[in-house]
Amino acid sequence: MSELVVKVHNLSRSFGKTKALDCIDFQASRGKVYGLVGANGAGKTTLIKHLLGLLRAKSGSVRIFGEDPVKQPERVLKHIGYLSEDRDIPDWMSINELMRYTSAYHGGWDPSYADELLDTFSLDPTKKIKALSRGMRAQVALICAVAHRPDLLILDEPSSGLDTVVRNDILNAVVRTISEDGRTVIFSSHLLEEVERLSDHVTMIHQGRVTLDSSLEMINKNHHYSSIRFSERQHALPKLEDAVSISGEGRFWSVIHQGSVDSFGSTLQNIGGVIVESRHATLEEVFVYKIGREDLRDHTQITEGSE
Amino acid sequence: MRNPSQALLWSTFKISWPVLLMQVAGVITVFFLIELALGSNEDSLSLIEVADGIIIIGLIFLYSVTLHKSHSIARTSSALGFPYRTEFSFPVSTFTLLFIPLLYFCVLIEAAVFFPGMVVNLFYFNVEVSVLPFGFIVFQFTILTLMLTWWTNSGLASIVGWFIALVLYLNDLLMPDFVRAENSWIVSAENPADYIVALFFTVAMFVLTYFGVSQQRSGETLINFGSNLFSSAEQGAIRDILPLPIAVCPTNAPVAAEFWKESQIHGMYGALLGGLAGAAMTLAIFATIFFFVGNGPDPKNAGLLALPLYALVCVGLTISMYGVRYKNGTPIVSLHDRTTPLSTAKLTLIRISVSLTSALLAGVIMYGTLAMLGPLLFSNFQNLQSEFLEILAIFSGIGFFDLALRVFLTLSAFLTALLLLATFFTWTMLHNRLFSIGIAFVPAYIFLWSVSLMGFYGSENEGAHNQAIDAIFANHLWLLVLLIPVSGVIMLRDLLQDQVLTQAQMWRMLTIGIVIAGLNLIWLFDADHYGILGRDIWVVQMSYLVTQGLLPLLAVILALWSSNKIRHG
Repeated sequence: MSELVVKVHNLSRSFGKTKALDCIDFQASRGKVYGLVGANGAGKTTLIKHLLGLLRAKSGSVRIFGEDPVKQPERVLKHIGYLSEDRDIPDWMSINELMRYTSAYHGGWDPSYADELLDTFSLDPTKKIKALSRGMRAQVALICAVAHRPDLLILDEPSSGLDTVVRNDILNAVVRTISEDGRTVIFSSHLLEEVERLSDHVTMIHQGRVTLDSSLEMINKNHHYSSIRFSERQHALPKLEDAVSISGEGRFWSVIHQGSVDSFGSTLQNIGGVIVESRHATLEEVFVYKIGREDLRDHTQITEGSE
Repeated sequence: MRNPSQALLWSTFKISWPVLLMQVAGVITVFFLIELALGSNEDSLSLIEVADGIIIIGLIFLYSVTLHKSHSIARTSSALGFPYRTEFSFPVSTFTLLFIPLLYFCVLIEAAVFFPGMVVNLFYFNVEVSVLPFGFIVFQFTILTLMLTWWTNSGLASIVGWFIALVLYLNDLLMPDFVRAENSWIVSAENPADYIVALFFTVAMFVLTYFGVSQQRSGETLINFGSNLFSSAEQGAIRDILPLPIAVCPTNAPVAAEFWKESQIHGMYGALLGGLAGAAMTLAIFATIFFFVGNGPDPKNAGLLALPLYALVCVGLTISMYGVRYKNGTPIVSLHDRTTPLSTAKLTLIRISVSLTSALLAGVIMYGTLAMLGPLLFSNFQNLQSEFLEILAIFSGIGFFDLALRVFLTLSAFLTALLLLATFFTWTMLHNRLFSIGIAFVPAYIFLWSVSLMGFYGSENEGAHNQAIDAIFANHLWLLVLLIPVSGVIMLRDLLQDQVLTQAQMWRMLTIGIVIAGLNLIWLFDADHYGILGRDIWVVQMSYLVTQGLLPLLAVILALWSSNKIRHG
């Protein structure tokens, strides 16, 4: 198998007049964790459906383990563990039946690992799926997704609608999967803290386009949040080349900027400002800047352009 | 919107007005075409009956869409009970919640009769479309069906309700005994007091429905038999109800596991319940007719009665063959099913084999039960049995090859019909609107041709009329001759492109399909069933018969193609 587990090239998809994906390029290498972030309707789930072969690539191409998931569903899907947002599993089966059924498809099914997770989650294997709570269903679906130790684990909003305890259970199981060498994880989430905690690489999607595709390390390294102070009141700030988002008033302003803090500090000094405090920008701050609401963006642009 | 009633009315109107427009426009167009073809004259009265049929088909279509729409508003997991369940939390009285949609749908369906009727009265023909009495029938039919559907969310209670309604109907208590004036649309009740009786039962039904909906609003069920036998829309629920051993899922092979899963949902449990339910319904209806008619129904009618019920059982067993079902008012295909790590060809083959075997098994159970219990309960069943034996006698006294051929071809035709039906229903669920338009278009198209040809041949002579109808089919055979192989080739190309089939598999499938087509031809020529030998249109007929024999092959190709489309979008 190739080291490149997922390769999406120039993928576009429209539903009626709505462009869900617009010339997307995305790659995932073996042994890394990829976080897909974006607002509702950004195109994350559409991309995941293409990875699973649930949607045919109308334009562009999708390759998983070097294969087309539409043409080779059997070969591709048996190496994938998938947890859908709505935990779609057969309601009428008992947990035990679902485990047996799922194990038949995956040669690598590890019964002791499945039992261990059942114990951890305190699930009764004789219970019917339809009798389970939302959180328990998520736990059962997760066991089915990870107990065969898949080469690629795809999680679509794994924490959506779950309480803190179940969310932690799920994240711990994902962490355990990651800790095993060579496993690749792609997961979409609204919870940016989660993405920050787990991901090596972050892909931000907005209105079907990739707006940021970088390792978390690079994002952290390149984006800073600085509190700045001027000696005199400012109605608007002059243009700061590295700044991507500015807010504040009077003498005190907050800026998210790219590049090094030193370089930004020198630029600031030239216009009479100093950095009071600086830290790496959180993913949430970068997210708001990159794919935040249009009105926020407009505000930033006005501020930036009002020198 | 100023008040809840307006909001309710608006939300219901928003989803149903296009259907009403289509119905009105469709009926007026059909009449316009009649006028165009024949002109207004008394001789064309017989055509009114044909148009009458078109209106009834349109109404059934409108009615079924209306019912479906009323359920899709609610987005509830079960189709049973009152559909406006999301509105239960609105600050509106239960009476308003029930009365507004009920009134709206009655008015909607009345309008679908009234407006075209008015237009026809004004512009076409010298006959009167009797809007008012006909309107009463439509009103009664609409309001009773809606209330019978909405009054309880208990499946068993609902069936009992329908049964009682049938008994009342057979006694002319729900609908007056109407007579129709000769050569006219005018219908009227023989006894005007019958209207009052019918309205009394309608009001009583409204009171019952009101209490039923009130109960549903507070999470209760009016007349709950304590059984989830018919109310559970969940897959595989039947196996929990029947006291039968449950097989253990094999873990050694994916195909075996998938076969187990399909068997649990669509297999023996469904066949057993479907077969027994079909037999019970046949006997119940038979008993009702026996009770009211006295001497019992004609055995031929009883035979006819069992057949559509069996067809219903078959539809029930095969309708979710592709894994498409309604949930929260919208068609869904389970992501779990779609991400099963098995090739589409294997998945389809497993689903087809399980569903079709169940349908056959249900038939054996249903007719076996009828054959055993029927004669014990009704004397007429002896006649029915002898008639059934006469049908079976066709197979006796023939050679082994002929017998095997007939059994094989009968089975193949039956399974092909089921497969086509299941595929049709699946696509109807997925593309409801598109298929509704298509279905509405087909009778209009056939009618247009029949009218044109009747105009050409003349309508006075019944023989000429039959000739015209024959001519329609003869002139349209080329459509089927083209449609079957061309669609087959297009779908096969897609299947090869998506690697659902390998070339070797495709050739194997084609060979089997062509052999079946050949056997079909041998049988047809052996018996000369259509009397085609020596006829002038032999070439067209011959091409049609060849392609007709290819239907089983086409059905399988269509099933694979549909599965692939459903799975991968």
